[in-house]
Amino acid sequence: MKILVVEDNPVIGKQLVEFLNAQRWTVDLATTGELAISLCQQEIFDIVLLDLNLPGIDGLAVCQAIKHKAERNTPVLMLTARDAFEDKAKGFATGADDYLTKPYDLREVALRCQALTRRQDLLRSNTLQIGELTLHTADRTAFRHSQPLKLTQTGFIILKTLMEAYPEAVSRRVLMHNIWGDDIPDSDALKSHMYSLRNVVDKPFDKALIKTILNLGFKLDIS
Amino acid sequence: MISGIKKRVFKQLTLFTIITSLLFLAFTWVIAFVVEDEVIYAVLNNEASYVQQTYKTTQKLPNARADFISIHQDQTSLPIAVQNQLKINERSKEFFTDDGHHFHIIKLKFYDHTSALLLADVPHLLVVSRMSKQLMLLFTIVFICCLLLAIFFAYWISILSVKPIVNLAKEISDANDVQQPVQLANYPDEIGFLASTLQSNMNDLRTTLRREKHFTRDVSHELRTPLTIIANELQLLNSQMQEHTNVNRMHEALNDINNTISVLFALARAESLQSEIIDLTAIFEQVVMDLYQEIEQRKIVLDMSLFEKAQAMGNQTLTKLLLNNLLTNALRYSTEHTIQITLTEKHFIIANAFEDSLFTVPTDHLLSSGIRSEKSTGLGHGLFLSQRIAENMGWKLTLHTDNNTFAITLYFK
Repeated sequence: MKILVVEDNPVIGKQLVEFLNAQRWTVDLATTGELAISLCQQEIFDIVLLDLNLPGIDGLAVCQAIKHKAERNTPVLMLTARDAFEDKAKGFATGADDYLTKPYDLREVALRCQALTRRQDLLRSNTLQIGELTLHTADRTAFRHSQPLKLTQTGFIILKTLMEAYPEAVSRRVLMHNIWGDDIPDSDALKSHMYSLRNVVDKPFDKALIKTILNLGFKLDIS
Repeated sequence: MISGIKKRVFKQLTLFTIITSLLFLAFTWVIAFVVEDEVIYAVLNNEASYVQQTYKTTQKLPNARADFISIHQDQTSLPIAVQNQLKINERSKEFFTDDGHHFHIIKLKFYDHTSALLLADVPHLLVVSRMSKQLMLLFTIVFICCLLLAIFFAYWISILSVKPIVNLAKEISDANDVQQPVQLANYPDEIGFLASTLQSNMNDLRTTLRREKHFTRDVSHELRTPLTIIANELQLLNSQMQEHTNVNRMHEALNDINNTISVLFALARAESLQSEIIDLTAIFEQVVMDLYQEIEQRKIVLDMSLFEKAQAMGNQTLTKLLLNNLLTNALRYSTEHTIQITLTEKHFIIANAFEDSLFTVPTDHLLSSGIRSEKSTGLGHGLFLSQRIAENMGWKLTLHTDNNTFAITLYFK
């Protein structure tokens, strides 16, 4: 993955580069908005990590320029100390794909980068890939270790939701909303669907990938 | 609101005019009858003095000069209907009969202490009663004309009198861009004073809000940038040193500072004052899932009883911070591996075991700023801030200790 970090603070910039390099990703650092815009026009990045408080051109204007001028729709993750609702709303309005307030956990930055590229990949190829799991949204098929999984329609929705949210957990309420909308039946219905899904995704294999979180939700455990 | 004031003034003016007109109509009607009666009595009194004068001269009762007046020595010669009425009330001076007669009677006293009765049958003199239909029609026509005129004037006056207020309200309602200063028109009267006061107060308020926004944004940036550097450095250190205890402690302290800063900023911002109906169960579930890793690391079991759809009036951001504070507190200070959590429609209870011997501070004092138990390694602001958040949303937070159990109850609005 190729990442552009736009950060005027030299220490934070260096820390981000060091951490992201350790993930074996290629990282470029731009300390001004002008440089970031120019780099985005010359090169293709998978993700731009953008600070909002920049000297010269403000981060919001940089985001707008990247989204309008770059040939490719590069996902932008805003990293900023501005945490007021109004600032977040402005950020998303100018085209940000995600927003993380300082001080952030570097591991979360990495996870969000993965999630954003996954979302981008899904838009381009209709395919989600998490560890051993592969899911094709176009023909609604799923595989684990290239072995096809015979999923019901509801099972497919649950697995897709879990894969899209990975590594975050998904609450029962969100899953039920994705499956049944506002017409939610009792929670036993979800229980039986989860049982069927586990029979298909986990039972025939050595390791269980679907993990229950404190009876509140589920997550994929790929590690 | 604007049309409401105009309508109210218009209605009140019209109603006032109708009531005044009706009162005058009734008063005029009464005056007409009184004048009619007074005319009849004047005629009768004139005839009475003629009779008394003649009797004094001739010692005989004369014949009445008008054909509708008759003179009677006593009641026996009066018409039967009049006699019957006098039997009922001897002092009556005016009688109506069923056959259309209307009598007025006067008792005459002469110089020789004798008396007589002067009776007048006056239906032809009752001008008002006879013309009542025509008069009523005339009154009605005049009343309708006056009413229409009154409605027109009421409408006109309501527009004129309310116009400055309506204009002022419109100007204020249009000045909804909080970034721009308010500029209201000049009015020559009391409205002008009101407008200039409003303008000055609104501009002061907007300036203060802008200053607050800039201040919190600047402070947020200045505080969070070095915290980010420390957090990142600890993260990088941790990945190199493999879970070092000292680094973990620094991480914990950093999380405390971050949490405190987030709560303080949330409380300081005007946006936190906005309340709505929030889904407490969903927010708490999210808080638990956010803290899932810490729960697992500490090997804590949450014994939860959550009402499926607990809702309350509050602020989403503040509620999440509050529940996060309470759960983090319980996770950190529980001396056993189970935390009891109950969420009902009315309240939220979180209870954990604690070491009684380390609890040197009275329970009530824990809600004060900077107060903490001996075991606590935090800043001593966690519960104080939690209480402030609760108060901000009109909720109530209480502490309770019993048999080595520390319980916090949160009552929703």
